[in-house]
Amino acid sequence: MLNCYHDGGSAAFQCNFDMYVRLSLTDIIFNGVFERFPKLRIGAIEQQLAWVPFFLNRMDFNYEQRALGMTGYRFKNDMKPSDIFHQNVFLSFQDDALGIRDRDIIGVDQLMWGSDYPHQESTFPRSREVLEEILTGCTEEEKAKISGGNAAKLYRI
Amino acid sequence: MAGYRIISADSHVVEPDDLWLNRIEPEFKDRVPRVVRTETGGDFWFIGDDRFLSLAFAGAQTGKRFEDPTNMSFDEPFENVRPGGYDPDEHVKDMDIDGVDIGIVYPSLGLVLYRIPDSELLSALFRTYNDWVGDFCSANPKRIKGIAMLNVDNVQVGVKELERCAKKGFVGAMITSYPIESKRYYLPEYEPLWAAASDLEMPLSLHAATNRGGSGIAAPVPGEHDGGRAASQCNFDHFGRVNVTDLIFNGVFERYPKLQIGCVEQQVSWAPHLVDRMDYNYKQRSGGMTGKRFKNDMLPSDFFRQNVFIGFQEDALGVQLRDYIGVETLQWGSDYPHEESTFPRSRETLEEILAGCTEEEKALIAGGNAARINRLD
Repeated sequence: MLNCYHDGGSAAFQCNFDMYVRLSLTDIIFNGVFERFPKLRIGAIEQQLAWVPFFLNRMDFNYEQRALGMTGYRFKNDMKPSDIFHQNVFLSFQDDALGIRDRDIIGVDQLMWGSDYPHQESTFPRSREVLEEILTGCTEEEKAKISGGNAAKLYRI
Repeated sequence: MAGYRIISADSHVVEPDDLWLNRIEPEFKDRVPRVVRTETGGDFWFIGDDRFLSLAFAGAQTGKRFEDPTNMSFDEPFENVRPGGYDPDEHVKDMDIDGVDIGIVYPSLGLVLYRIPDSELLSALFRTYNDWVGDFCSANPKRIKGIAMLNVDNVQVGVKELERCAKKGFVGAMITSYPIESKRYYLPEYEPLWAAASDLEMPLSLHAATNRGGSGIAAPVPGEHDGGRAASQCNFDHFGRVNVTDLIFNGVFERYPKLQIGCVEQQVSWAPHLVDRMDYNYKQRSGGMTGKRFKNDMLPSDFFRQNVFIGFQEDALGVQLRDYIGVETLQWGSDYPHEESTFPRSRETLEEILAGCTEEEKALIAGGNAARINRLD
C-alpha cells in the first residue's frame, strides 16, 4: 500500500476559490459591462485579497500588449482594465495580511473587512485582535475605511 | 549586464509544416497536423477541419509588441515566422542578438495538441516531435536544450517515452497542465511517473496552454465582445495552482522529495497568495488534510520551495515578492519567438525586473536555478 494521504482534491478547491471570481470579472470587464453601466458595483466576497495584484497585472498586459484580449476595441477615456476594476469592483476578506501589504496596488477604497461569523473560518471571537494585527501598517484613515468606512459607503449606511 | 549566465528556461521552436507528415509512423499519416492558409491570408495549423493555432502567435510577430502593439494581428503567413523557430543555427544567432547563453526549448503547436481526444495519435505525434526536436538540439547541444513532450493518459506509455527521452539527452519533459477532471494528478495511478521522473532527475513542466481536452488558442470573433478569450488568457495560472495543491496535499513530494514540477509561462505573482492559502488551509481548516500531518513539521509552503519551479518572462511584482515564494523556485525565460516574448530586449527586461535583487539572486533567477533544476554543466 502506498502511504498516500488522498485528500481527493478538496484542498485544491479550498486554496483556489478566487479563480471563479477572476473568470467572471474578466468576462464582465473585457466585454464592456462596466463601461455601459458605470455605477454598477460587483463584489468578490470572502475570496481574500492577495490574488488581486497579479490579476490586475495580467488584465492590463493582455489588453495592452496582446492581440487576444480585445482586438481593436479600446475602452473610452483611455481606461485600462485595472482602472475599471478600481471603479466598479469591491472586495471582502477576513485576515489576509499579505493583501493588506499590497493595498496600494489593489485599491484601499475597495477593501471591506468581514468576520465570516459564525463559520468555521470566522475571526470570531477575535475580530478586534485580528483587525489590529493585519492593519498594523495602515494609516488611521486607511484603517477606518477598511474596517467599516468603505462598507458604509457602498451600502449607504 | 553582470557576469553571470543567462539561460532562457522557456524558449520555443516553431514546428516546420512537414514535421509530422515526413516522419510519423504510417498508420497515423492521414491525421497529422498541417498548415492551411485561410481566406483572410493567415496560416493556421489544422487537424482535419479543426483549427488549432495561428502562426501569428507562434513566431510571426516576434518583438512587435515593443514596436507596434495596437497592430498585432491574428493572420500571418508562415513566411513571416522567424527562422530561428525551425532552424537551429538561426535560433542560436537570435540568442546571441538577445544576449542569451542557453535556451531550453518547448514546442509551439505541440502545446495545444494536448486537446486532441485520440490518445494513441497524441502519443505518436509526441514521439515524432521528440525525435525532431532532439535533432534540432543536437545541432548545437551546448546552447540548445530540449524538453520532451509526454502523453500520460496511459501512465506506462508516458513513462516509457520519458525513459527514452532521458537517454537521448533531453533535460526535462512536459505533461499536460491539466488532465481531464476525473484523472487529476492526485490519483495513485501516477505514482510510476513521479517515481521515474524522480529517479531520472527529469523535471516535469506544466506549460501554459497545454490542458488535456481543453480549448486551443484560436482567433476570437473580432469586435467589441471577446467571447471569454481574455478570461482564459488572464487566468492561466489556475491550472498550475490546482495541480500544485493536489500534489502537495496528497503527499507526492513527501514520497518523492527530489521530484521537480514546474508551472511554466504563467508568471509569478499568483504564487504568494497560493502559498498563503495552502498554509492557512493546512493549519486552520479541516477541509485541507483531515488529521494527516506532514513529517518533520513540513508545511505546504516548504514543499513549494523544495519541489516547485516557476517559469516567467517579466513579472516585476512577482520578483519583489520572492521572499514569500522562495527565490530558488524562479526561472526566467524569454518565450522566444512568440508574440509575448521579451526578444530582442531580454537583457533590458531582466535588468529592469531584477533591479531590487542582490547579485546572487539575479544570478539564480537569470540562469542558476534553471541550471540546477535541469542539471546543466
